[in-house]
Amino acid sequence: MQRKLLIIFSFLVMIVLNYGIYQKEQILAHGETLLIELAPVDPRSLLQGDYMALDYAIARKASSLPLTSSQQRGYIVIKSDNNKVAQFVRFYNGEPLTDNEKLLRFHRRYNQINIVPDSFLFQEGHAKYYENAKYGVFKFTDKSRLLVGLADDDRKIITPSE
Amino acid sequence: MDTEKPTASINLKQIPANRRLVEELYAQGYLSAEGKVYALNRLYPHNQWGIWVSRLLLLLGTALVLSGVVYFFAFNWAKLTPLIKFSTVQIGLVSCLIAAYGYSLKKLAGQLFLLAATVLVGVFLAIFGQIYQTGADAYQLFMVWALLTFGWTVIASFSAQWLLWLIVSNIFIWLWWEQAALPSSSMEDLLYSLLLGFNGLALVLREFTVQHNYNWLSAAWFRVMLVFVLAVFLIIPIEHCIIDPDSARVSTYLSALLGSIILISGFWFYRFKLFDMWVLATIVLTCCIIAITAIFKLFFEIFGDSESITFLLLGFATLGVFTVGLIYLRAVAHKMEAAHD
Repeated sequence: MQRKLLIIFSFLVMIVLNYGIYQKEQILAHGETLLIELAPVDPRSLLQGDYMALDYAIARKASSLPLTSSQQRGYIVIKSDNNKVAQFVRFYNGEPLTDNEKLLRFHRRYNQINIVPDSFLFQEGHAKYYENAKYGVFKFTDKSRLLVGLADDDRKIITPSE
Repeated sequence: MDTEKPTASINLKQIPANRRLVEELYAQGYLSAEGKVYALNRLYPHNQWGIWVSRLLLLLGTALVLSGVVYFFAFNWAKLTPLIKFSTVQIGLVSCLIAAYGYSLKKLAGQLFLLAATVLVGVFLAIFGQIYQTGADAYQLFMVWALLTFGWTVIASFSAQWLLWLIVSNIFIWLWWEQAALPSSSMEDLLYSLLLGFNGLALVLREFTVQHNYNWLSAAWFRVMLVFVLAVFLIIPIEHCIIDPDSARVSTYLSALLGSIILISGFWFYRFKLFDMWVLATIVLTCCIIAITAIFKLFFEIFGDSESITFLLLGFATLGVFTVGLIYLRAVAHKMEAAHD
């Protein structure tokens, strides 16, 4: 019995892990690319070890607007401009979206609007390549989004050149 | 082995078989010299240290290899493609599982391979977080890790495996509270109630299973460790309420109340139901710390201005409290010794 259970549980674990990979790869393959501008972060808190804290211009803008209700969680409607850079449109209230509008989930903490992912992980020592990043590069599908990298001023994705 | 004519029904399970018992039986003439040597050899085999050392080395080796794997992937090599990273970890994972199956979970080697597989699931999830940049939701990593490895933990019958699973689950509860529950500031300290509830439940289940002859959790360190963790999580809110009642909130008082209930019921249980000296010592020490804090607060309220008097009296109070605690523990120890003889 114990041996049977070991096999069953192990198969379940392997299936779950690989299904996770499959899901993310689907977003990468079929998602629409969209850039979200990063807000300038205090450089001293910007780089910590092997990751970089991210803050988005959209979140800063949204924080400065009075919220219709003091909701803890919700969605921001964003829209892509001609350069594929996302712009803040409004807070989402359940209305139908137009063609190129997308939803971005947020939550509030201490009256600050937070958008996740708020960190970007990279190899130790690669901080110098990402210091001047200006955009987060995302893949959007209807239900989810994936941060795939950071981009510079020219909206080109940064690849470490080592 | 002879037994005396039964005066009352004595459960043999309650009598610890140790060197003292053997000597006593020999002195009373119930055991021959040969029997004594045989019994002592059964209880304390002369080659025991060899087994102990080899097991310790096996555990240490496993821990070091796994640390190496964890640190290698934590570096987040940009040159390694996701495909390489994922496949190496999965090959390692499957190899560990096959080895665990091969050795069977009844042997220490098999159990350690399953423990390694459990750690590798965590490594896999960490890599997943690096590659797909899901670093913001660290609580999800620990949640999935705990959920996925729960089945293995149940069937492994291995205390180290349970320990790892409990650590992962505690981190999950902590991070979930911080990142996903988004508590209002008056409810923040309910975290301690959550942790107390979870670890308290683990302790209750542990006692229940040991009573029903599941031996793998009967290691004494497992109980003491859980009790220690509970003591830490209940001291924090109680001390907060005593030292600075003004900044304590509803949730702090609730957690302190739950902590007090756990402390009192724990004392009753391990003193009168299922005696354990280590646990009792931990509980008494916890009470001493709380008592001293209360006295300290009281003195400060009374002699707030002249600190030298406060500290002088506090020195005496500390001595007094610990003396009372020690006297109590010694009295209990004597009582229990007498009951066993």
